[in-house]
Amino acid sequence: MSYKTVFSLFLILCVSIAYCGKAELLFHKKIVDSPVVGKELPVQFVIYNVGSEPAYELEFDDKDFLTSDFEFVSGSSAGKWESLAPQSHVSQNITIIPKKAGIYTLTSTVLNYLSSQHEKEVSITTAASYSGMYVESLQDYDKRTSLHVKEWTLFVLFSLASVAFPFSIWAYYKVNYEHGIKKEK
Amino acid sequence: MVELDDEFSAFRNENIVSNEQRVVYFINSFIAALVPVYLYHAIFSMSFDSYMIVYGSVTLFAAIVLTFAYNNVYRVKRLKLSATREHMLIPKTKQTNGLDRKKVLAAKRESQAVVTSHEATALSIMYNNAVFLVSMLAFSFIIFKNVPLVYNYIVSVSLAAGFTTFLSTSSKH
Repeated sequence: MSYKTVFSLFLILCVSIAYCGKAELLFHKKIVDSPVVGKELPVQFVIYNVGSEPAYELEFDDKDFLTSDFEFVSGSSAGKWESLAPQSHVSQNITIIPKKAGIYTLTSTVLNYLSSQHEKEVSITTAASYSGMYVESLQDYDKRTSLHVKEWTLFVLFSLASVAFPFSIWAYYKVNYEHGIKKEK
Repeated sequence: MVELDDEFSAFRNENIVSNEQRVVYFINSFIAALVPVYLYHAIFSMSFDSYMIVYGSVTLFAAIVLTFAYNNVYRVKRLKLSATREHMLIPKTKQTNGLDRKKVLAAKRESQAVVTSHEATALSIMYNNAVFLVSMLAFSFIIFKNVPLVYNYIVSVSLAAGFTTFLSTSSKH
């Protein structure tokens, strides 16, 4: 093994130790259900620590859902934690009710944290999320999800009626006439 | 009697379609063509406001095409029914003289022709409506299921009406 190879291996080791010795956070703003006017919409903020060291002083504050277009139900859209152990996650939930249909822009919420205990500089990560959220009106939602049982029943009835009406006329002649001559009672 | 003769002469003549029949055909075919309108409007949410012209023209086209189907099947049915019936009329009263017997027979023949014609019309409308609706469903849900909604409606209803009329030209009913 040459001197150069040993040196480069040592260098890679140093870099990986320096790199792995920090917390790495992934931040996700999660909206699972499709938003509908008047229906409760849970929003989840999840922070994963994928690094090898704990993260400290985690803090975020989201203001996307604190406008007059949404009704607050429960939870909070801000979060603060002392630390987050490596290979673990924390989450914050907020439940809101959209008041108006339309497209709402979602911002990338900023999460501040310290990547190690002795670190003075605040690290920043932004939430992975959709750039916009489409809130469906209740009528559209009903139209999309309804099984249309009533409409299908009516359709079948109309179809049957358009066949049954001429059938009833034919049946009348069949019962009361024989070979086109009125039956004598 | 002369008036009665005039009224029924159209029914007797095979190739002439009376206005009365045309009206009956058109009312029935129009109702049959309205059934898909309900399907597309209420279930597939194709609104009246946006597609009024499409609905109107396709319904009118289907209704007119179906009237031909009604008439074709009607003629075959009436021919077959009357062929088995005409000899059934036997003058049974012996008291009446020859002239009266002829009159009675003619009147009976007239009424039999009317009944046969009504029966044939009813059978024809029933058969064609059933074929039209089943073929419309087959076209829209199976053959053209991936076609966009508006085109699906236009093609399915028009082709179903055309297909029904095509089938009606067969003499095997």
